[in-house]
Amino acid sequence: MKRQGLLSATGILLLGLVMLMTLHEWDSALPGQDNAVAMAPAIIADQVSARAFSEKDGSLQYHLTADSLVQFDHNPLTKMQAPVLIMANDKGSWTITSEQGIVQEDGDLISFLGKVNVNNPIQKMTVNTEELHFNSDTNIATTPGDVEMRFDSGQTRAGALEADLNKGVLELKQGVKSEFEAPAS
Amino acid sequence: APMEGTIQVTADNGRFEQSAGSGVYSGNVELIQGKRKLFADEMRMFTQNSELVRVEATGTPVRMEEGEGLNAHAENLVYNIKARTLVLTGDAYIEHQGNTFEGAKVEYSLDSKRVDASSEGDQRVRLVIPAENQTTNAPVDANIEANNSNPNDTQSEGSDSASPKAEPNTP
Repeated sequence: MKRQGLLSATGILLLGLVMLMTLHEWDSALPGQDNAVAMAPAIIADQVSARAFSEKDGSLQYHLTADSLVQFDHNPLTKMQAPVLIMANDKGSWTITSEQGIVQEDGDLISFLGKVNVNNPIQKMTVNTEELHFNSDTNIATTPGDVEMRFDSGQTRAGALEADLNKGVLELKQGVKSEFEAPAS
Repeated sequence: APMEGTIQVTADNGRFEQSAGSGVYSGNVELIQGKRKLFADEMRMFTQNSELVRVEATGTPVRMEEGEGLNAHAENLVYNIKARTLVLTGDAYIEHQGNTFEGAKVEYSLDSKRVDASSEGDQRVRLVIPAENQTTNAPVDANIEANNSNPNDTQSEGSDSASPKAEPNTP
């Protein structure tokens, strides 16, 4: 009886050791925990203000503020609430506001989502859309969906927009409808 | 000049260049201003002090119509909004209240209804005034120039003398 007892005790002990080693090697993530790890914020910040300056002449290039900012550890993503981005431009600064913002690709791509408004007081131009992506590397803004623009002498609607701020060229696609006030004779 | 309504432009695509101060609409382009309609493949819009002052349209051909009394077509059409003139070049044709003018270049004043037609190279000026227009009150104020020495370059049918001033009529 004893030997069987001993065997069974040793057996259980060995089995336990094997179980522990297996669990240890299993990268410690229990089923369902992967998602929690990925979504776990690394940084949470409120009333954020960030400025970027030109390498050439040190002038202010971008000024980004947001009510709150959340950065994730396992996910190269930064989410913002109520972002405001002011971009300096020799033809008048552009200000972009929206309900949410997402920063991706190491900060090169900023997506503005929900009631997006773009305004340039110098050029008297306003743009409204629901989604706008701005690549600060290429200085190109795009809207995948409907966009409405108001300017001094009228307004224009289009199905999509691409604006190259370096070249000062605006492309409107997927149907364009403009309305101009007739000039005073 | 009578005040005109807003100008509506629709197209497949648009491209605006800040430095050039102009915008190009391309693909099924339509311009509507009151009863005046322009149809073209491409229209270039020029602004001055943020006001739209000029439209350059190209097409195969560009077509233009205004109410019942006026329609025109040509390869190119320039609409000067402030001066209220149309300049058609390239197989230019205008029909105004039954009278037709063809030539290499035809200019038309939206206010005075005056037509200036000129020929160029082998394209001659052609003026047609239907018989019934000669007696009724639809005379024509037309200035026809032949740009080369050939006296026979101007061909007019129906009427051979200069016509009295046209009555201005609002579109």
